[in-house]
Formats: sequence, structure tokens, C-alpha cells
Amino acid sequence: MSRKARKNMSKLLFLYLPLTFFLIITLAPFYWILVTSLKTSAEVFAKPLTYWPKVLTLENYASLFSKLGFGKYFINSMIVAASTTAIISVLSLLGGYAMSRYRFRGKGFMYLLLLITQMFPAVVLMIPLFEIMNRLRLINNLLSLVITCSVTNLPFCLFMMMGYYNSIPRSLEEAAQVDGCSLIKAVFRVLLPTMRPSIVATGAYAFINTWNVFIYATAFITDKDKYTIPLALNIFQGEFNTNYSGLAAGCVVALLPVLVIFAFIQKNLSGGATSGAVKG
Amino acid sequence: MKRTMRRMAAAVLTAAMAGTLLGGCGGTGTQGTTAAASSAEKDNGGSTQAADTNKEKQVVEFWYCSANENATALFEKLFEEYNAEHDDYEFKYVGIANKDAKDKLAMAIATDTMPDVFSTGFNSIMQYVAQDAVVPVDSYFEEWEDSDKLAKEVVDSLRRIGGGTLYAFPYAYNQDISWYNKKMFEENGIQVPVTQKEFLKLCEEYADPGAGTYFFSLRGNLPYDNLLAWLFTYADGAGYGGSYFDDNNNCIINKPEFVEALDAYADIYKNHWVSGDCVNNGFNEMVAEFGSGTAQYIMHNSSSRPSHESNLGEGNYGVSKSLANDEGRYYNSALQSLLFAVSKKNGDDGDYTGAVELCKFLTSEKVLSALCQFLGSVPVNTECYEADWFKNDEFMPLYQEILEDEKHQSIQNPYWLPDYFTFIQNEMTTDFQAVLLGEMSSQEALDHWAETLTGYQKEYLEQE
Repeated sequence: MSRKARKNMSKLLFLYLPLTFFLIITLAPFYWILVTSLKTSAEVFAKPLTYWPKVLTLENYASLFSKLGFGKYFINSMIVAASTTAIISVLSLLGGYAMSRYRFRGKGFMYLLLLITQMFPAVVLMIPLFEIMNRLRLINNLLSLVITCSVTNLPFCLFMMMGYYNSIPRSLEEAAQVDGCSLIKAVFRVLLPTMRPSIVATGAYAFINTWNVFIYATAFITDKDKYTIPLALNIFQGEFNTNYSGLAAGCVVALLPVLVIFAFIQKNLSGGATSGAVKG
Repeated sequence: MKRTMRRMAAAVLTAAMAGTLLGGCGGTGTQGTTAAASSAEKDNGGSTQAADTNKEKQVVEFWYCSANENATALFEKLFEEYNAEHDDYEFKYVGIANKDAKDKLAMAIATDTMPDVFSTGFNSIMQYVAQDAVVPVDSYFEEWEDSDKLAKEVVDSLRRIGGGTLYAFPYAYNQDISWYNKKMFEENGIQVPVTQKEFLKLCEEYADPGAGTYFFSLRGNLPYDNLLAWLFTYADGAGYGGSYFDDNNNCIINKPEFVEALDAYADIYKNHWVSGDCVNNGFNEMVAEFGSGTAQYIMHNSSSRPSHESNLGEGNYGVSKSLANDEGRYYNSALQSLLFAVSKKNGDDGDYTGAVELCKFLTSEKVLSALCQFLGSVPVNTECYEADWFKNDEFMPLYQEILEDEKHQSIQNPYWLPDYFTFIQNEMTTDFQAVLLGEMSSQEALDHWAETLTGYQKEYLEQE
């Protein structure tokens, strides 16, 4: 076998085949959800299994929006996720800079405190947070979710931004200051453009976490008009009856914004996710 | 100067944060309730005196803890009509998905934000009684002129669970039965099995592991009602005299007759007469096997009807009484009632008139006729039995017949023990799965159950 042929065989065996296998394993559940959403309830359980609907129907999607009012829940989720992302982006941008560049008393303690907040599972915080939101009269108010998600995601995003700032030499903003920029101008005009992938990565992380939030939503929201998508999807699962095709349609709709966001930010995301990983 | 300004700004911000923190944490429980009261105007959680434009209306909040899109649409319509008839109360419906209900109620009890009325099951009510979260309704029930319209057997069964006290209003019950695939039975010329022996023969005959089709789908996860029905029927009660416990308050479940019965049931799995997945089959998986034609016969209760309707289509499934022993007797768990409970949110001496009014409405013929038609459960209000929908229903008359059948024996499971429901969900399930997998013998499993339940019963009697 020639050298080229050996190389091609090697690529096939050690690159393309494993990748294809991995892709199939990863994409199969998504494909199944999509196909189930296009089937009638009876066909979901039909034997033999159908890998593409015999009778393709969009009835599940139609009833999501016409009967269930899914549009309202979609907007609620979008409001919560967008607000939280904006808040976290701004705060972690500024807070990360301070944690990275400044030395101040209590910095280590602050760092430890932020780290400790990440060790509490959401379920443990449910009751005390409910008490707080109840006293603030924020039960059945989307603001309760915005506040909670901002607070719980901020520490991790702060660490992410801190890492990104650490990877950028100080000399960059110092050079800008030498040229006459104030510190603020140096940060916004010089640092931020280089940090764009990192900001996108942090924002995407915050958005996805907030979009999928369920534990806090189920604690703070009982009013149907204020449901977010994860809460609304729960209603499909009755005590003795689950509408699988409707649930699948709901899942597809819930996935769409995340897919669209990833499609637009993909270039920035792969660079930003690791840009703070290695110093120098 | 700049440095001083910055320090001052930092100090002011820190003070503001601290102030907000303390302000949020401060206050008493009543303040929280008051906060919830005024927020009730804006449809926030909790229910108290609402200070809205109509100062007389008291908000009464109801949590339906098995909500889905159909139930929510129905209740919203009923509540709209009912509210139009009332100037003194505003009745508010909140739908809670069944999966979240337990956690939400636990949180509501912990934070003192319970609704006025909530739906629950006979198997959970004593847990709420143990937490002092529900009001005994005996006195309200006795004063109610229409109380005799609720089926006496169901009310009595509920009273027995409550140790002689009624802790909720029953509104429906689920009847233990067997479901079979009518279409497949007709195609294969199968007679619906009446006895356990006939059933076992069919399990063996129609098991085809190669093709992945079987006669039966066994529920391995949370098996309690099916399992207990099998054990007691097979053993013909083994001297069961209406109690799980003998005169010395020792649990009887580990008698040799029950051990033999559990061996016979476990052999269905060990002989590969059911799918290998059955050991982990919960309700959804069992219904999925039935709906897909993997299995032709399952044991469950009347409430799974909407699932079979959706999966198999109308006319393709049938119902039969639970399997009987050679004497023709069949045992089922005592009536599994669905309840509306009044929460003790206003304390021992509170006024629960509004909540009780709502319970009366929710157990009326109008509401239960609408609700039970799509739930598949049997309404407790006997006026429903005279309605056309009930008489013309394919299965409801059979459920009524079972109730009056002399051969039908009720097993009064000890749901008065607060830990019983947790026990059957955890230990009973894991031990049963171990028996199916051959990791535990039937004797060991039943000895464990007997020991555990005897302990619970002794604790319960000591507290009494």
C-alpha cells in the first residue's frame, strides 16, 4: 500500500469513522425528538417503529400555539434570558476586570466567597429564595427569575471573564494610557474589542443556563401567564397520561433560539471558550 | 480628592447593599402574608383578604395538582362560571403539574404559603396530616345537606385511613382493573383471562423474546398495587381479616402463602415471559409497551384510560376485572380515592367556610361529570351514576359492578402510617426488583417488609 493510501486509511479509521459515530450518537436524540414532533399520538407507539412519520403532521406545533398559548411562554423565557444575559455581561465585564487587575484588601476572601456560592445545589436554595421573593412580593413576577438567575450565574461568569482578562497583558491598556487614554477609554476601546469572543462565550453561557432554568421557575411561578418554557413543557406530562408528540414539539420550539444563537456566535464561541485558559 | 470621592462612593454603595439585604431579610411571618395579600390582587401566590375595589370578596385559592392542558381549560371555565355566581368569594384556580406537586406543597408548607384547597391522593393525605397541614372536615361534612350524595364506601374507606377522622373531601376513585388489547385478542383468538392460572398459561404461550412481543407487561418500578393484588389473590388473603396486622400488631405479609405467591409472580420475569426491561418499567414504560403492542395485557387502574385512548384508539382496548384465584375471589387495594383537602393555613381556629364551599362545588355532579369523563376515574358523587354519560360509558358500569361484587375483596393498605407511602416507593420497589433479578429471595423480601411495617405500626400506636 502506498504511503498516501496508508495515510488516507489512517484518516478514515482514526478520524472520520469515530467522528461519524460520535455525531450519530449525539444527533440521534435530537433527530428522534424532531420526528416524534411530526407524528400523530397513535404513531408514536406504533409497531414497527417508524423513523420518519407515515403521516406527517404539523398539528402538534399548531396546537402548541393555538391551544396552549406557547407564544406567551416563549416570550416570557426570552425576557428572562435576555435580561439576565445583559445584566451578567455588564457586571462580569466590570467585575472581572477589577478582580483581574486590582489588588485590594479582601480580594482572596471575595474570591473564596464567590467560589462557595457555586457549591450549593439549586434545590437547597429553593426555600430560602422563595421566602425572600415572597417578602419582596416578587412571586409570580418574572423579575424574581431575572434576579435569581443573575445572582446564581454571575460568580462563574465573573471567573470566566477574570481568566480572559488575565490572558491579556497589562501593557495593552498601559500603552493606551501612555498615548493619552483614560483608564475607562483604554478598557472600552482597546481591551473590549480583543475580548469580544470571551464576552460572547460568557453571554452564551448565561443565556443557555437561564433559558433552561426550571427549579427556580417552578418555585416562584404558579401563574400560568408567567410560565417559562421549561414549566410549560411540564404540563404535557400528566399523572397518568403524557402527550409525547406535543412534548416533542415543545422541545423543538424550546431548542430553536439556542440553535440560532449558536449559529451566529459559533466563530466567536470556540475562540472565547478557551482564550483565558493559558496565560502568556 | 479623587481617591476620597471614590472611597465615599464605595462606602455609600456598600451601605445601600447592606441596607437592601437587611430590608429583604427583615420582617415577620405576618408581614410576608400581608405582602402576599396585597400581591394577590396582582395574581401573586397566597390567598387572604384582598383589598381590591370590592372589599367584601375573599380570595380562595385552589391548587389542582394533576394539571394538564385539558384539566386547566376545564377548571378555568368552571371557575369563571362559579365566580359569576358569587359576590362574597373569588375562587382562583392554579394548575400544578403532577411531577412538581409534592415539592411545591412541601415548599408551601415550609414557607406558610399554602393554598386554601388542594387536590391530593388517599396515599399522601396522612403525610399532610402528620405535618399538621390539613383541617379535619368531619364537622363540615356532617352539616352539609348533600354529604349523603358522596358514595358511602369511599367516605368510609377514607375515614379508616384517617383513623376515624375525615381529612378531605373525596371526589373520585380509581378502580384497579386489567386492560387488554381488544384488537390483538380478536386477531389471536384469545379469551380474556379470568383466573391467575389462565393468565400464567397465556404469558407462557405468547412470550416471544425473539420478536420482542409478549402477553403481559410487568411493572417492576413502583409495583405496589399490582403486586399486592397478585399476592393476596394468589394466597386468598392468607387469613387476612381486614388488617395487615395480626392481634399482636405483627405484619402478616411474610406468611408462607404470600412467599409462594411472590415466587409465582417473580417467575413471570425469570422465565422471560415478559420483556427484560420490565424490571425498570414504571407507569409510562408499561403503558408504552401496551400501546406499542409489545404487550397485550396490563394491570393498572381506570385512570390510564386517556393514555390507551390516545395510543391505541377508541374501540381497540378493553377492560376486565382483576384476575381471580381458583375460588373466584379477587383482591384489590381498597378504593384509591382522589381528594380535595382544606389546608390549615388559618390555624386551628380559623374560618374555612370559603374553602369548604369550594370543596362542595368541586364535588358536585356538574364538576365531577365533566372532570371524570376525561380522567377515566369513577366519580364519588352518586348523582353522576344517573347521568347519561355514565350509563352509556363503556367501562363505568363495570367499575360500579366491581364495587358491589361479593367476590371482590378490598385490601386496606396501612396508609395511616405516615411512612407507608415512602416505604412502598422505595424499599418495596428495590426489594421487588432484587427478587426479579434473583439477588434476593421472596422470603427475604417479605421478611424485610414485615419487619419494617411492624416497626411503623408500633411507632404509630405508641404515638396514638
